[in-house]
Amino acid sequence: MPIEIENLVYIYQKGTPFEKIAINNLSLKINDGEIIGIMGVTGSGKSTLLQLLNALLTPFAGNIAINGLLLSKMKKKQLAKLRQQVGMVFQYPEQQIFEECIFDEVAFGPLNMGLDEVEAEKRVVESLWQVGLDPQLYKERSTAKLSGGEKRRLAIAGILALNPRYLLLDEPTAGLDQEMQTLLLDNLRELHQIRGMTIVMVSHHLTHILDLCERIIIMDNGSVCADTSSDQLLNSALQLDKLGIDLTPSLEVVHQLNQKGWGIALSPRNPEQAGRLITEKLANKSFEL
Amino acid sequence: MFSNLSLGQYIPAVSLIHALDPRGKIIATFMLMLAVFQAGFSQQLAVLCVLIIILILLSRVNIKMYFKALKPFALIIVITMIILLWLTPGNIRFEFVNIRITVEGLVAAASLGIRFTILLLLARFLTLTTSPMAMTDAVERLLKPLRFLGFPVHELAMIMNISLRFIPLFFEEADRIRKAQLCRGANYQEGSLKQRIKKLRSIVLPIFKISLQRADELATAMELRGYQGGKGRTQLNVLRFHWRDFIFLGVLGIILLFIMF
Ligand SMILES: Nc1ncnc2c1ncn2[C@@H]1O[C@H](COP(=O)(O)OP(=O)(O)OP(=O)(O)O)[C@@H](O)[C@H]1O
Ligand SMILES: [Mg+2]
Repeated sequence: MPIEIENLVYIYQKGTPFEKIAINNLSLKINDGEIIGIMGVTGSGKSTLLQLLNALLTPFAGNIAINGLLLSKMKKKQLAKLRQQVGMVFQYPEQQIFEECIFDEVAFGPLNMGLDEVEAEKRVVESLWQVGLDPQLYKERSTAKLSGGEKRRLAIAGILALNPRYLLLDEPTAGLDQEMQTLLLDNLRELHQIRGMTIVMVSHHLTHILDLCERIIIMDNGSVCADTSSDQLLNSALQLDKLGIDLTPSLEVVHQLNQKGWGIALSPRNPEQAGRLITEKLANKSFEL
Repeated sequence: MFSNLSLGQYIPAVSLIHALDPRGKIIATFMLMLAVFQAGFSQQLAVLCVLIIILILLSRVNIKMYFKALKPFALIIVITMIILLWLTPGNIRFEFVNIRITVEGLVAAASLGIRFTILLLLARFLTLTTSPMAMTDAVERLLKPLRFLGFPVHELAMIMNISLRFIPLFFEEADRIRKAQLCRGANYQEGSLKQRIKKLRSIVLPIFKISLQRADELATAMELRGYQGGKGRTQLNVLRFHWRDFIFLGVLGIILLFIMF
């Protein structure tokens, strides 16, 4: 089920002096099985876009169609079903966690789906493992007394327990240590590869996005200003620069060399290849530094 | 669910009304409210209506924001009006099967409806154009003389200020939890009454818990910054009456005198 977004507009606090156009005539198509990274400066409308996709916000103009069905035409009951298919992890875990104990928090979704207790418990255990929280240790603990990183992981587990077809993640790596970031990205990759989950991840870290995503969308001022495969990312280097998004060090080297006419084609997800190309060219002495 | 409930919401704008001293506005609003109670159901009320419409226009806040205040009370107003229509004895004007509508009933219902609506609009007028801060400041100042009778004026103002700030927080919190639950397939419209009550409970409990937590945080934050009550505490914005405040109150007072006597 592809997601098609057409000329979407969303305005916060319309009709007051604080009026803010957060999404401005945005069109986008997300295909089944894609794994997409969204970048953009703060306030460019990334979180708003995700909330619109999940029908938590209602657009002022434009359409969102999921599998050919318009969100605006759906009844409450259909929307509830849809939201189980399109799982969304909020930007701030505090926004998402509301139950007293961890087990209840994660089981909330599966129970809403009508799963029986045995099945729900299985989901809880499985999704806690996926985010690196040992269910035996954490199941009974209070959600209020978790550290920031633990809360973040709990919030993700709550959504994974729905086993959605689409997974929307709003800066899921923020506030996690290096090890947990790697674990999370590995798990997301696995969900994508094994279960065929379509993943949309917002992040400020180009490394994380390059690590995981095949397609990169850059947002500015509420619309898409670049939409490339991660292999072609360097073609958008200028836009990235304008928005103040730093390239990764290896990309930066290649970008600088290419501006001097080296013409290195590279897949940013495979920096070793770039290294090889550069040494080859240097060995042939065909280019000046 | 909660987003259309907007209690005590302040809308900043550049207008004559916004620029007035909050104390003047509070006094003016109370004068008008008294007048609305006292006015006969005659030209008096009509002129008051016009006066209030002018004030609303002067405030330069979207009219819609005013009507939002009426919405929660609309049902009560209408029901009371129907009861008055139905039960007031007097000269019969119309008669359906066995419902008698009397002239007195019509007058009583209209009079109540209009007065109640105006009162709500006036309260709204005050809160839309005065920030909660300015409002509590003004209340504190107006009640200051009572301090000599041992009345805890500063504490009262602080309580008022904090509650005013907590009400919107409360609704935001409810909205947040509703969203978080919707995201995980909650559907409040579905199920038996018992199931629905259970679902409601899952919203209400966390709200209370989180609000208490917030209150605790606020208390700590205030203590951390050395708050210890009204004694010796200076104020940032010292309220001052300008000529426009005197003119506003003067003009309003004269108009009201003319209308009422
Ligand atoms: N509830 C709200 N009321 C008013 N304005 C809002 C609200 N939420 C967001 N905005 C504004 O809308 C714009 C887009 O916000 P959004 O949260 O989508 O940005 P973002 O791209 O996710 O930023 P970040 O990277 O900081 O998370 C911002 O300018 C923000 O100030
Ligand atoms: Mg955001």
